[in-house]
Amino acid sequence: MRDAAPQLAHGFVLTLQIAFFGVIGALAVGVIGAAMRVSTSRAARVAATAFTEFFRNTPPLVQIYFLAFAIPKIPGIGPHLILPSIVAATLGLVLHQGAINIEILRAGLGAVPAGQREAAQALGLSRIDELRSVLVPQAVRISLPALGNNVISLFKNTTLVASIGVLDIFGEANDIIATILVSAELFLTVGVVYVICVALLGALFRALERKFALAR
Amino acid sequence: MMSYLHALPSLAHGLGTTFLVSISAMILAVGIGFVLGIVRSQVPRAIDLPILAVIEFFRGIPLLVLMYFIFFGLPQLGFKTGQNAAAIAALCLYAGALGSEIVRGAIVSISGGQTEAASALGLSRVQILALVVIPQALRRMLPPFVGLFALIVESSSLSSLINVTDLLQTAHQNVERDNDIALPVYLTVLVAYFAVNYPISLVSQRLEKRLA
Amino acid sequence: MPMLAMSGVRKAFGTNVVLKDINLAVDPGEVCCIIGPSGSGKSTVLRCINRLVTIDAGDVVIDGLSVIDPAVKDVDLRRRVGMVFQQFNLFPHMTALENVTLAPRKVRGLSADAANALGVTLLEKVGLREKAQSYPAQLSGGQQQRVAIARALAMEPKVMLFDEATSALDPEITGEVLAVMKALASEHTTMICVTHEMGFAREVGTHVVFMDGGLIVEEGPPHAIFDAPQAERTQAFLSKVL
Repeated sequence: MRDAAPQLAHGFVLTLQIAFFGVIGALAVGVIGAAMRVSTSRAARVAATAFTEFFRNTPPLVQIYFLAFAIPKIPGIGPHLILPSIVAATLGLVLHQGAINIEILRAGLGAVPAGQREAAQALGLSRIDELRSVLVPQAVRISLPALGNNVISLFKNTTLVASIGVLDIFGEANDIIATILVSAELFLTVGVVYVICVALLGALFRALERKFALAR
Repeated sequence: MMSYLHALPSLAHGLGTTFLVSISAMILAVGIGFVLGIVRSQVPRAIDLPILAVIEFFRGIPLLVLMYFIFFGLPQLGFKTGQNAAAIAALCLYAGALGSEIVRGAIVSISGGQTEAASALGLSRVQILALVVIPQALRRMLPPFVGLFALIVESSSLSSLINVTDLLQTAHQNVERDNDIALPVYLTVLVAYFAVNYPISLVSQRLEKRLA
Repeated sequence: MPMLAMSGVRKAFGTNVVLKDINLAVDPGEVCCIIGPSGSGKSTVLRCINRLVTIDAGDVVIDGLSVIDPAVKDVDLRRRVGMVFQQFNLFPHMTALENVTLAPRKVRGLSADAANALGVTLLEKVGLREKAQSYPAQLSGGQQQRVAIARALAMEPKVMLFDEATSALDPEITGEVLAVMKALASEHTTMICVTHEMGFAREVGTHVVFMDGGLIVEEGPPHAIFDAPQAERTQAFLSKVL
C-alpha cells in the first residue's frame, strides 16, 4: 500500500488537471449556451435548447466513448479527428456538465424578478447593460448552489476518464491492482480522497454563497 | 452495414439489462430513501449527525469507485458479489443517499404549521406523520424522485465497466468484434439513452410545474 | 405645448382590453394624480408612456417625441421619463449609491466621479446620504423607495412617473415617501402619480384623473373631483375610499 502512494499522487495531479479544465470548459459552455437561450434569435435559442437536452440526457461515459471511438470512424474526416484520450475524456465531461450549466444559468435568469428587468429598462439601459449589470449578477448568485453541485459532480465524474485508459488517480489505482492486487484497501483510499475533496468543494461553495448572498 | 443490423438484437437485449439494473436500483433506493429520510426528520441532531455522515460519504464517493470497491474489493474481505448485484448495490447506495435528502426535505417543508395544527387536535406523533405530513410530502417528492430515476439510468452505464452486459457494454462488445461499426453503434446507444431519459426528465419538469 | 399628450390610446393583453380610449394632456410642472379601482388600467397608462408596454392604437407624445415613431429609440424616451415602482425594484446586488449612479454612468456616459457626485447629491435630497453604502436589504421599505426616487431623478428626467409608490409600505412610513414627492412637486417637477393616497392627490395634485374600466371617467382640479364629482362611478368610488 505504501508503495502505491507515489503512483496515486501522480494520478491525483492528473485528476486535478482534468477537473480544472473541465470546470472552466463547462462554465464557458454554460455561459455561452445560456446567453443563446435568452437571445432574440430563434435559431440560436433552438440550437442551444437542443444541445442542452441532448447532452444532459445522455450518460457522460457514452459521450466519452463516442468521442474516443466513434468520431474517428466518421467517413472522410474521421481520421483527422482522432483525439488524445485525455482530450476526448475531458471534452466528454465538458459537454455533459456544460449542458447542465446552461440549464442552471437559464433557470437562474428566469428566477430574477420581472420588476428588475422593468426597472433596468425604465432607466434606459441597453439590452447588453441590462444583462451585464442587472440580470446576470443576480442570476449567478441565484444559481450558485446548483453550479457548486455541478462542479462536484464533474469532479466525481473525472473517474470516467480511466475507462478509456487515462491514468488519473483512479486509473492508477486500477493499474496497481492489475499488478499487485490489493483492491479493497486501495479503492477505499481513493474513495476517501474523493470524499474529502468533495467535502472541501462543498465548503468552498457554501462560503461563496454566504459571501455573495442576495438578501431581498 | 450487415454487421450493424446483426448488432441490433443484442443492443436491445443490453437495453433490457440496463432497465433491469436501473429499476432494481430505483426500488431499493426509494426504500432506503424513505427509511433514512423519515428517521432523519424525526430524530434529535445528535443521532442525525452520524447518519448524515454516512449519507455524505455515499454522495461524495464517485459511483465508479464505489462500484469497483464492491465488485473487486469486497470479495477480498469475504463478500463475493456477482456483477449485476454489485452494480445494483452501488447504484442504490448512491441513489438512496440522494433519495433520503428528497424525503427528509419534503417532510421538513410540510412539518411546521401542519404538525402544530395536528398536535392541537390531539393526534399522536406517529399519526401526525402518517396521516398528515407524509401524504402531503409525497406530492413534493414525486418530481425529484422521477428525476432521480433518470440519473440512475444515466449512471447505470458505469456498470458496463464491471462487465455487466448493459446497453453500453453490449455496444462495446459489438465494436470489439467489428471495429467498422463503431460510429452507427455508439450513435444508436446515445440516441437510445436520450430516448429513455428525455421523456423521464420532461415528466419530472412537468410534475414540478404542476405541483408547485 | 403639453409635456405629455395621450390620444386614443388602446392596449389589450391577449383578449383582455386594458385601455380602451385614453386621452390625456399634462402640462409642464403639473402634478397629475390618477385614481381609480384596481384593474382599471392605471399602471398600464404609465407603462405606455416610457414604452415598457407598446400601445395597439393611438399615440403618446412626450416632450415632442412620439412612442409610435420607429425613429425614436427606447433610450430617448427613457432618458426623459423617470419611473418609481410599487415594489421599489432596487437592484439588490448594488449599494444605494451604485443603484443611483448606474444609469448616469451607463446611459448618460458620466465619469465615475461625476456620477458619484450626482448620486450623493440626490441621496442627500431624499435624506439618505448616510446610507449611500448600504445594500437595499439593509434599508427599510420607506428608505428603499426614497433611494428608488433618487435613482429615477439621476436621469434628470422631464417627467416622473410614480406607480403606487406607497402601496407596498406600512401606513406609518408612507409619510416619508410622500414628503419627498411633495418636495419634488414644490420644485415644479412634472409628475404623474398613480396613487391610492387620496390626501396626497387632493393636497399636492394639480390635476386629478379618475379611471375605471380602461377609460378616463372624469378629470379636473382636485377640489372639483373630490368635492363635486359629476359621474356616478366617481361618486361611488370616492364614497368607498374617503
